[in-house]
Amino acid sequence: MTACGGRSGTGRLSCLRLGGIGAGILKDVELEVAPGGLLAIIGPSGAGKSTLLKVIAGLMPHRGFIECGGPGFERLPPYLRNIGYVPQDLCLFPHKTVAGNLRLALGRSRFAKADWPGRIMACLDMLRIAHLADRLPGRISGGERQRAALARALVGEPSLMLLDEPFSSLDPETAERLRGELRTIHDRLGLTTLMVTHNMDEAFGLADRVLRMEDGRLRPAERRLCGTFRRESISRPEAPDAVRDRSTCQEQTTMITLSDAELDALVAQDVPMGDLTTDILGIGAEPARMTFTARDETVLCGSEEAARMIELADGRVLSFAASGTRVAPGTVFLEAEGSAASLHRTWKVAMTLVEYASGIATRAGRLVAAARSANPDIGVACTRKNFPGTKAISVKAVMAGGASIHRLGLSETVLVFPNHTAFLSAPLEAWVARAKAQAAEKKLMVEADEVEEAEALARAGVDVLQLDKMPVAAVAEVVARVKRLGLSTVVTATGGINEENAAAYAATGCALLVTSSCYFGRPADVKATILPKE
Amino acid sequence: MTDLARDLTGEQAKVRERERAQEQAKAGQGRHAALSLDLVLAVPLAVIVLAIAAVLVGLGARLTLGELMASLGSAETLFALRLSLTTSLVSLAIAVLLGVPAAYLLARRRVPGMALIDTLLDLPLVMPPLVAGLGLLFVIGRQSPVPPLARLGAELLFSQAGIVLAQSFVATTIVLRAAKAAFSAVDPGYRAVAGTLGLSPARVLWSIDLPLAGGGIAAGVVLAWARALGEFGATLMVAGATRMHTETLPMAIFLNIATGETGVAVACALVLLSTAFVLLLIIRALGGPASQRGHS
Repeated sequence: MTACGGRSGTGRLSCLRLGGIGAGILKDVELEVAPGGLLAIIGPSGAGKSTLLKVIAGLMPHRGFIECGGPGFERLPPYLRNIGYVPQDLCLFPHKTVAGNLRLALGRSRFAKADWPGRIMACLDMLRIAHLADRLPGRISGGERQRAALARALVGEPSLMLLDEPFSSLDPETAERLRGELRTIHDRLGLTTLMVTHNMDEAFGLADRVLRMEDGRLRPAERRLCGTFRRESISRPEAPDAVRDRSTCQEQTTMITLSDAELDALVAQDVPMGDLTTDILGIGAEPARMTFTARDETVLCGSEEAARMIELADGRVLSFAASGTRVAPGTVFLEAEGSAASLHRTWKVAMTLVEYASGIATRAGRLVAAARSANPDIGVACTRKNFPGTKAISVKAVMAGGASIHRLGLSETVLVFPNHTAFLSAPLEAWVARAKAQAAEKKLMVEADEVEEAEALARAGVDVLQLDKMPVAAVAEVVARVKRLGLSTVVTATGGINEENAAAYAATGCALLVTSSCYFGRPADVKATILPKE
Repeated sequence: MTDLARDLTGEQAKVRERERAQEQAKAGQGRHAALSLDLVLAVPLAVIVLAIAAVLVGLGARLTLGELMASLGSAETLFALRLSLTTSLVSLAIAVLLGVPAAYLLARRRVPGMALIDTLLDLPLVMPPLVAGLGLLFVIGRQSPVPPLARLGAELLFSQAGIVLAQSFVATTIVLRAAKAAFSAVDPGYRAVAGTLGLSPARVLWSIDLPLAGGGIAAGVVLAWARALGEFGATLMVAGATRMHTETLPMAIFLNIATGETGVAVACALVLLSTAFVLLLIIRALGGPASQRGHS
């Protein structure tokens, strides 16, 4: 264990070390925050998170020791601890302006009185509320008050920041923006920070390290990805956190696409008349706990449906990661509880659904990554060549992987194949013009498999050229010719495109790759574990 | 089909209409009943208002304007006014200097025996001033159980300093009560956060607690001043009623009515009355106890 270096008041990079802390509900709490580190503590309300912050701030009598820039910190009165404490209810002084609130905090700082106004304005500016300097706290919005409280805690250059649920009272949008700014400020100032929150996404998005507090004790926190949704919110999960990679984590993929009736039907195919094994062993009533773990790197899909399926069979889902989340090997992405009977009833169908859907999503994700490595702007679309009967979940999987859907069906898009033109006797220009007039608000897409044919179609005025099974060089030639002709025809490539050649096709400069390859391959590998609940 | 539907909705509309009429009739009856009760209740209210108005008119109509001006300008009235102002302001200063710090301590600390101390502090508020004065008289009188207090009493008793003693005894607990309530009303979170921001306890008192509790304390101070100005019973016991010596405004009323000189008595009464009225307005403006009327 390294000694705490630096001196309180001058060195901003002091570390925080606690040991044997007992106060109220807290039992023998130990923790260490590295200099400049950001530690988040999560846990349910009443677990003792706020109490711990009060102990460190010197606002509560306690047992144990605290080191922060040297030992004996616990014996200092609060006003000598040089901390920036933002309590949950902020406590901005209502009789002082925003600037006046900051001025009070400078009394004991090392700044000369002449520098105060500049220091105050710089700090307000950093939190983008300089224009509110002369307003009273009661006359600004909730988000602005939060910023003011952060500014007040920061202005005296504390050696330790203590944040108590800093974003809990804000609307999600404001909270997200402030989270980003807090991270930036923290990185810039290198302030040792301890934050408590009940929001797991917030904790993992912001902090270097996350601990969990339960009943006054600290333990390591497991990351539960994207969602920790309660039963009633499963049908409409929150949007995933922006802090994570957005490219594979899109809002629409987190919706449930299969109805309860469809999910029931899937389960009924597997368990039409009860689970004989569980019944004859007589273990059905035992309380049980189940986890789904990804064995490989996987882009998840279908976790919402799996969760709902488990719930329809009377299981209780504790947490699950949303579709579109990229998980590392060994990640637990779904946890559920319930009777052994309820979990055994659904686990296989739920897991298999996730495995197939995640297989598609993972391949789509890899294809997108390969294509974008050569051309960051290129689109990747998957065809409608999904296994018949699985369109809804297949579409969801494609989108979870970050790709888009080429054609959902025949009713809404116009794509002319040789199998169509074989019936046409009119000259090319004539039928193209007629087709465009007939479906004026649609794009006219025509498939071609030769360079000359493609050029003729482009000249005739088709909107989208779909080049089928043409070599990379030929696709590049068509793109070049269209460009040379000054046409705005969109060139897309299809036929035989897979993870190996996607980059080469993307490099041709075509606008979109159309592929079916993500539908074919091994399902993702998920391990399901059902154990008696201890 | 559609006709049937229309009939049905028509029928429903009629039923609804009937229900609404019944409700309105009920509401009308309710309003009527409430109105007749209110008429009965208005009688005692009228009695109270008339009694207060009668007192004011009785005092105001007693003297002609000329007599009033003469009495107001008389040496005795002016002496009483001056003495009342100086003694009450000195008493008030003492009350604030003792009451506010004590209140700050009581508002922040839980001490053993708190309930006992609290009750003891409330006692002067309900104790008749005459009784309080009697107690003071015995404590610092010639037969005081503590000899040094007896020596002090020789200086204080039946002097103007005695007036201050009596007034400040009454005023201090009023200031203390109001200040304690005002300090307790300040969210302790402010105090805690101010501490973490580097403010010493003394600066927290000065920059946070006093400004935030200021309105409530000021209202208490004004109320205490009103009580000090009108103080009679305790003053009579400790300082006596000596014309042109310990003659405060209330004492002047007492002495002059006793000798049948209504002019000075009424003039002093009107001065006290108008001062009280002004103080009442100030308390209202400060949001103190007197302004807590039903606003709903």
